[in-house]
Amino acid sequence: MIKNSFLILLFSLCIASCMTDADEQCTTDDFDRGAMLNNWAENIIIPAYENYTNKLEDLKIDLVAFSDTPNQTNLDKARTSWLGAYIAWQKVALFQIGKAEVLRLRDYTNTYPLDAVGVENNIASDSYDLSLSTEMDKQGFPALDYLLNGVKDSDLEILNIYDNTSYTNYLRAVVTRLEDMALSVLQDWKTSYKSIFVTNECSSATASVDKLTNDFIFNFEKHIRVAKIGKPIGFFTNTPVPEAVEAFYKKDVSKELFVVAIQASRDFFAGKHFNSNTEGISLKSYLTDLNIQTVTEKSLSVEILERMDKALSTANGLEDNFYNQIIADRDAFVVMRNELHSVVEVLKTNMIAALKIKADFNDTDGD
Amino acid sequence: MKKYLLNTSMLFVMSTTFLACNEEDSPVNLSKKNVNDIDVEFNVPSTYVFERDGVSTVSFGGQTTRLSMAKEILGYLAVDSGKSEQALEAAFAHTAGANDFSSTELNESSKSVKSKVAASDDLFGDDALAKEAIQALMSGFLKKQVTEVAPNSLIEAAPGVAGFVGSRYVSAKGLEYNQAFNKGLIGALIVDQVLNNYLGDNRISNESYIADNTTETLESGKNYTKYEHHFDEAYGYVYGDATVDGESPITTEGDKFLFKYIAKVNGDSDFSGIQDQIFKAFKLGRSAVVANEYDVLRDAIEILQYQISKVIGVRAVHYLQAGKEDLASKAYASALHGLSEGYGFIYSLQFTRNPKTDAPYFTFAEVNAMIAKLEKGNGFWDLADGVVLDEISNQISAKFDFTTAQAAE
Repeated sequence: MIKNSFLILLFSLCIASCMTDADEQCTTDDFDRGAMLNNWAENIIIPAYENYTNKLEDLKIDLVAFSDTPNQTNLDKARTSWLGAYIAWQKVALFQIGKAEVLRLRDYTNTYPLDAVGVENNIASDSYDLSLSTEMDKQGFPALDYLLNGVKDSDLEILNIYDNTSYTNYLRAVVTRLEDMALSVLQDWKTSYKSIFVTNECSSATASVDKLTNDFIFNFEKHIRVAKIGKPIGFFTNTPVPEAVEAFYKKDVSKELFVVAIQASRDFFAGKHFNSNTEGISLKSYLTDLNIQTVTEKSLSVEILERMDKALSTANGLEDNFYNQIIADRDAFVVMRNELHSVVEVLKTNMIAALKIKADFNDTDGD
Repeated sequence: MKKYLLNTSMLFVMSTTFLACNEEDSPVNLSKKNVNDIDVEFNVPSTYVFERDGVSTVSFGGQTTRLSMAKEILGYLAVDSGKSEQALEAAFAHTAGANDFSSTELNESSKSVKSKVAASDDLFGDDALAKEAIQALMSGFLKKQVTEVAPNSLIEAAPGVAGFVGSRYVSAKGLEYNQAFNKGLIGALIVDQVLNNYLGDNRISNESYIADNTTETLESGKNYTKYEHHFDEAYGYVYGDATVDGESPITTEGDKFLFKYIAKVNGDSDFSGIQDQIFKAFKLGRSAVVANEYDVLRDAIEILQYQISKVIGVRAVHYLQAGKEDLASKAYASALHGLSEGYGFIYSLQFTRNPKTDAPYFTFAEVNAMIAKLEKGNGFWDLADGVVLDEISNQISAKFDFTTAQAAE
């Protein structure tokens, strides 16, 4: 009997040790992932979406006023609020998770270059369904950029074109869709998604930390490095495509949008609260807590911040008008692209390996 | 009896549970060291010729291109090449269309040497910072050849002064940067790509690659499976030099990298046969890929890990010992040249792969500590008493199954 009890004890010890292993698959370390998720949701993501929907509300009011009364004053106001909302978009573009992912918010909000011919065809036909995936490149901020800045060469001609209700209808349809999608995402965060997001704190391919970190890196690589810089300068092809810059029709705001996008990524990494200098629990503090160091025995979080700051400083040194500068001085953008790449590389390898986050992207085989 | 049965079944459950718990800690397999130790029940050709429907399935053009580029860069490192620091870096990090090389074919290529330096999936897939540090070091050798050594090419070198020694051109510490680059590249490019990338776990254990190989699912527009091709890419880094007979590589002829030094080690009677072992292991592994004999493939790869790593270890010790002798007899040109080659081979040790641990024989930090000892003060000039050279030689040979004396010959 004693022997049996001993065996049972041993047996349960072993089971217990196996179960501890199973537990460890959830947490992997002592860091409080739930607290980080809460900081992300409460102090960064939801306020950023609130700001974004507010700016879209302003934009909608101004666009409706403009389409009712197409005069220079209303055009100027609409352009200003378009830029305000476009800047606010850059601060949520990295959070394509939950409802935003389901709706494919980014694809319908900011696919560029715009299919301007397609936009004109839609307007001419007075018949379009902007929820179709074939219409992604005919709506969103790029479509508004075209309609407010590029549809004709002079402001006078632009004002004249809005005597045609097909144009005003399109303007309203585009802004309405932008606002509806954004409100739907914000409502979802505020009602149900926040708790789903925060409690999904384990470590797995579908867990919140893994998923949003992957999304954050994906955004930095594909939608900041590639879309804003690499593609317009033809980094791999050596043939620039300057028409592919963001805000191609307005032109002199490409840099502003770009800088805001990098800053938003830096702020997210550092856990900085929206519109405040307070820093909460973040990927930065996660790396610092685990005391992750580089091969040269430097803090990895410091290394990442330094690289982001370098990219920001280089970005600030570019001209406002990327279209012109790409034609005149492509080399400046090659330097910029390589600095963004050096951020991506460290995030994609050192950081996710240190945090035991599994990459959900596949890099192509180089050879 | 019933009680006994219960106990037995409990013990059984327990032991399986323990097994399950300990699965990850199972002892490593004993590594194979010689191709003759492996039982083979399929055909292995006498040359590296593999065909499907009478058409070759072997392709390693990308490796030949990179070896040609690397060789041309070695030429640019001559002090009288007239190449600028920028031209050297541009050739190292070549981009398609840039006029970096003498042939149109290389200039048009989208491949570059630098992008594959310290770039294996197994060692650097999780560490872009280590990759960058190593690439920067290699770029630094190119730069310093132009900025430190070339301007002093008419000055006689001395402790603390860069310049010429006989026909050699060295840094203030006595280092020939072209040798550091050349021999460093043997590890950072070739051994790393062969052992830690194409024959590394990420590729060889990839289930989808294996499945496609088993079903002979060919790459689009090609006559080979991805798995076959990866193996050939490993082979190409060793035998792909444009002047080497890729089907039956016997003489090293124009090769400047690993193959040349396999042959040199083979020339030492303590290691004779190693050249044959490496070639046979490649042929065996490739045949195993075709035969879907994945256990045999792993055995062949273990031999390659063991033998190729040994080549690096032997040459590192060999040059340190030769340098020691030459320093003692004040044959400085020969001494500094040998020590520079040794320096590069020591650097290459961090890309080797020990089949027993699946890790390099020496880490990045260990290698850098050895390098720091060699570079201390006036560097090679300060090593004449042989103490440090013996210490490092013994540190290296202790990790392998050869002695310092065997490698020295």
